[in-house]
Amino acid sequence: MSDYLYYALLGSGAAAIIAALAVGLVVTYQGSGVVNLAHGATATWTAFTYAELRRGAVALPIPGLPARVVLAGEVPSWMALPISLVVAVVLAWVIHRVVFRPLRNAPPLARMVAAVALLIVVLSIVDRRMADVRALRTPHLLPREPVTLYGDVTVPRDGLWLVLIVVVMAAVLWVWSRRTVIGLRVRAAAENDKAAQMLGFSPQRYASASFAVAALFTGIVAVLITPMLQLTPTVFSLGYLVPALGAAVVARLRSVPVAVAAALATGMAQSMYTQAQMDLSWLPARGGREALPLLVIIVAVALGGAKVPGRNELEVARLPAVPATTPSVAAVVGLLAVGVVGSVALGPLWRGAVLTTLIAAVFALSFVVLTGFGGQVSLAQLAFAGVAGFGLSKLTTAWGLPFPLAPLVAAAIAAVLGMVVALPALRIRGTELAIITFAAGVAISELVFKNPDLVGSPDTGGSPVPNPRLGTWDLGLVAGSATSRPVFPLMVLAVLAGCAWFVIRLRNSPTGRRMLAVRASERAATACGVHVASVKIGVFGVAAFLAGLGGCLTAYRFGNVSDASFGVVASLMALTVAYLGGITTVGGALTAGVVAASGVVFYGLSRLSDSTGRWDVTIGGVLLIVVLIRWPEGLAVALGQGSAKVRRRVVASRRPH
Amino acid sequence: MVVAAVMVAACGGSGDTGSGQTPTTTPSSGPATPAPTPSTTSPGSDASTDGQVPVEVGADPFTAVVADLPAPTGAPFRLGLVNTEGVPGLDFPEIRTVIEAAAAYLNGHGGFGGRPVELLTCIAAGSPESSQACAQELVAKRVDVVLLGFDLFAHYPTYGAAGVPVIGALPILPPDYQADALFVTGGNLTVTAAMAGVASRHFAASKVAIISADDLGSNSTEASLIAALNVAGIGHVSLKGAASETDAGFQGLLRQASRQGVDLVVSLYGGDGCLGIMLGRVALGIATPVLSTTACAGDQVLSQAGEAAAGWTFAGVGDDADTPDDRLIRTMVAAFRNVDPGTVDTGGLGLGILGLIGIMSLAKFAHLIAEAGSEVTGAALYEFMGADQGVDFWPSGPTKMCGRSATYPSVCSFDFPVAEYVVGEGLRQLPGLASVSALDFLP
Repeated sequence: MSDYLYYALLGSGAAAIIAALAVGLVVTYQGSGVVNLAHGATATWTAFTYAELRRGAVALPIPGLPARVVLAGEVPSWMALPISLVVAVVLAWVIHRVVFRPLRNAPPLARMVAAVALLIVVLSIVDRRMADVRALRTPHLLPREPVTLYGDVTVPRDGLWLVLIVVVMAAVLWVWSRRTVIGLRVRAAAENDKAAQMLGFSPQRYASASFAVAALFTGIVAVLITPMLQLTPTVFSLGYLVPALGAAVVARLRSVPVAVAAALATGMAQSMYTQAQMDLSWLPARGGREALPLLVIIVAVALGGAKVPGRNELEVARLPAVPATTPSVAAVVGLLAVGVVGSVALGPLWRGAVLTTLIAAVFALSFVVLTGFGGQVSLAQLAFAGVAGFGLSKLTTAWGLPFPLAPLVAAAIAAVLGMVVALPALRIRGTELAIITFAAGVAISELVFKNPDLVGSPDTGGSPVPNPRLGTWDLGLVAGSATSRPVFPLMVLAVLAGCAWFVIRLRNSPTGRRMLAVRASERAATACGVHVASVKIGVFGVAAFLAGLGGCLTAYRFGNVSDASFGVVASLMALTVAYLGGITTVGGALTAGVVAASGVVFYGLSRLSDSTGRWDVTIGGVLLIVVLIRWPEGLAVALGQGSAKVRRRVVASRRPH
Repeated sequence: MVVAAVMVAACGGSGDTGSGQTPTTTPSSGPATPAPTPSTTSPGSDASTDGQVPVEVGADPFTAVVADLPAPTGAPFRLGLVNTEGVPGLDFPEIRTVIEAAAAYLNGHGGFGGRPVELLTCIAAGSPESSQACAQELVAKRVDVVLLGFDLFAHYPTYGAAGVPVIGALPILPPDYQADALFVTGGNLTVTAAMAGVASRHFAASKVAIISADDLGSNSTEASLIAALNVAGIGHVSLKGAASETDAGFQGLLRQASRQGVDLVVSLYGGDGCLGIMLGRVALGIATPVLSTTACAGDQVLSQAGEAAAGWTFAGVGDDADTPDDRLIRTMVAAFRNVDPGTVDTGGLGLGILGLIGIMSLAKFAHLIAEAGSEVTGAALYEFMGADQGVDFWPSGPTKMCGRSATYPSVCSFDFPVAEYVVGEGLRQLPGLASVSALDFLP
């Protein structure tokens, strides 16, 4: 038992930073309704700012300016700490004012997508500016001499100090939120911002303040932990953020004490895994350390969720409308003609962009069913696609399943997994569901995509996928001496057309109407005799099947499956693109395909600018945020409104004066 | 110095500030791939058999002649280059710039067997889509050979269908090892096999503890190491840590490792974890030796670790002598940057060294093909590289052994030097371990 105590205490430092990030997420959400996925990235910038000051430099985040200004000498820690914290507060305040305040009336999903874009922006800035300081260490700030607590349980004391600091700060924050006027106002605004506004408070001011407080809280811990680990651009942005998100969900994004407790437990449990993997042979050899605590959180949150829909149900209802339209024959023929021309007549590079667009549209269709029709949110869609992709490799190479049976079976496997992941959706909704599915996606990545036994090793050449064949007809992109055969994009176009037809039919079917009823109001749907649970599970299953088909098309395209196509970041990007295009309609899905990364729009722009600049990712993220602020319901809605406006003007101009 | 440069390249050191660690050669936090380093040549002898000109000890025969070669005048040799740049965590412009420097130099000194080098570069974005687009682009431009700098998802079917030979600097992901291509260096797979050889023959280990991060790159490397240990008949116990561990976390891993009754600890952590493990080992007073890769042998890690690095052995690390090859590198890079050669730090070229090995080896092979009176074409270069005629890669090795492993046909080099850290002396090459072959322990 003392061994487990030893490892729990050794994990105190990591647990403390997870707790700090979790508190930051809760405070930000309470103040603004935003799950700020970029919170860890801003903490990273704070820590780097401190480290740079200690080295005698000031890092500059703005593209075009020098990476850093060298000072006359090192800045002492008593001065560097407050300066870096001021930077953190200002950065957080600016982020809220510039990005999230303009989106205050946008659907919550739009704010989450903006947070993803912001994560990309901040992460790329940190990476660009700190590319040469990846293994930075700073002198100790906390005492680190070993302390013996019990028997042979002797551990460095800096981690324990850090836990104490986090707990004390969290306690102060908790008391402040419950005993001070400002704290009560923030909580009131969090409960009902309109009512708070009518009482004369300014919810947006409190939202900015919550961003600043969260940045200050996490910034302090990030700086204090800097001497205990190697500072890298992703250390707080991704590594510790995922368990922090899990802890925040355990706290229902409301309770600071619960978030701290859950985070400390998670961090220490991960540390205890070092001992557990020796004692318990049944534990997974790979991925268990990160995945198991997440799985425990998922189950705990799902079991503890309320059956009665809460506030979050309203969030989903604020999604754009789902018109029951049937496309005209002319529109279908026109779109198919564009697809055929793009597949056949264009050169290999444009054909590649068309392929990306077509496959991205299939992924976007899965979001249309899941979110647009069903009102559910998933950040694990591409994990399902990856399971199908790797499954396709096994089905074709090991079992010899032919086309098209193999991709259908692979997509069915993804559908089953999707229905399993749907189980938490029976009790939780909205933002919490998004985070839980994010955790599920991470767990799938950890347990499946990290395992060479499942995804292939050098002696197997990875996870190869043979060309699709119908009899002797090779449908592959590359065959013989042909490097880019039109038959493959035509096949993908056919699959996309089939999926689109299915989704349109689904929307207009009784099943689709049941989905929309659940999306609108679970209570009302139940009252009307709709079995909400089966509808939700069905929505997840269908969406995962479509994502699985997309994964199979991706695998066929490249001839080898890579986790890079299906990781957590890929899932976030897929949701972002799907939302940007328009998440409630088939037209939106097609628009999403057009604007997807490496799709036809991006390729066309790259041909115009021929840019290989180091700031492309940053600029792309900024543009994404700008588009979201301008058209928070997606481009398809904006295009629809625009065309309606033009039609009205044309009609008006034809009227006799 | 070339050795040091290669070492830093494998570590991914940027070297310009002296404080950082640079991108690893895997997209994860796994260990950096040590590039095979030049074999140490015995004093007074010329181990190479491919040159007629007496050369200075430690210099490649091609180095001795290239400066005197006339500017090329033949038809341009279209050399395609794919490299990954501009993506957070996957940004290796140094590979391209160093290859550009070498191409510029060669165009004044012999080119590729008398043909000027026309470099056609495609920048990949670390995604399968961008790598496939690069393959399509270079094939459309009818390049003679494609040189892969850092390309995670090289689309070999496209190159194969077009009949374009592919030569790579470094195999990274599993498909690379069985691709229809040839790689100048052997990647993680070969270094782990060499580590198994060191564990067996130098440490006489019967059981080792493997400490590694639980991420895809490290798990893949760990799987390769376990397979190699099995070949060597060495037992193992695996301990997985987080990709981002605190110093205390590393202590926990080491404590667990020391309790398993092992003869050796093998650390597969990259630069992010080296220092934590070194400090943790000292804090816990663990005497069990540690075997690692070049990822932990960079100046920045060792300077911070100090005496804590004692007892560590590094696969892929050689001596630190200044050679004519170093001077040629400085000349090429300095001319390209328009600076004084004395200001060029070869250790600061990062992964660029791998690209340099690639293009200069091709230039060397082209020179030998032309000398033999044959036409220098892409196919001829590929065939020459794949054949076993006793010619080493530039600079001064490692020995070229393409296809020597039937399981991993694309790998062309298998030898690694091994060094240990000695307090007061720094890195010291171990006797008898100047060139450890991975071949005997490949799974």
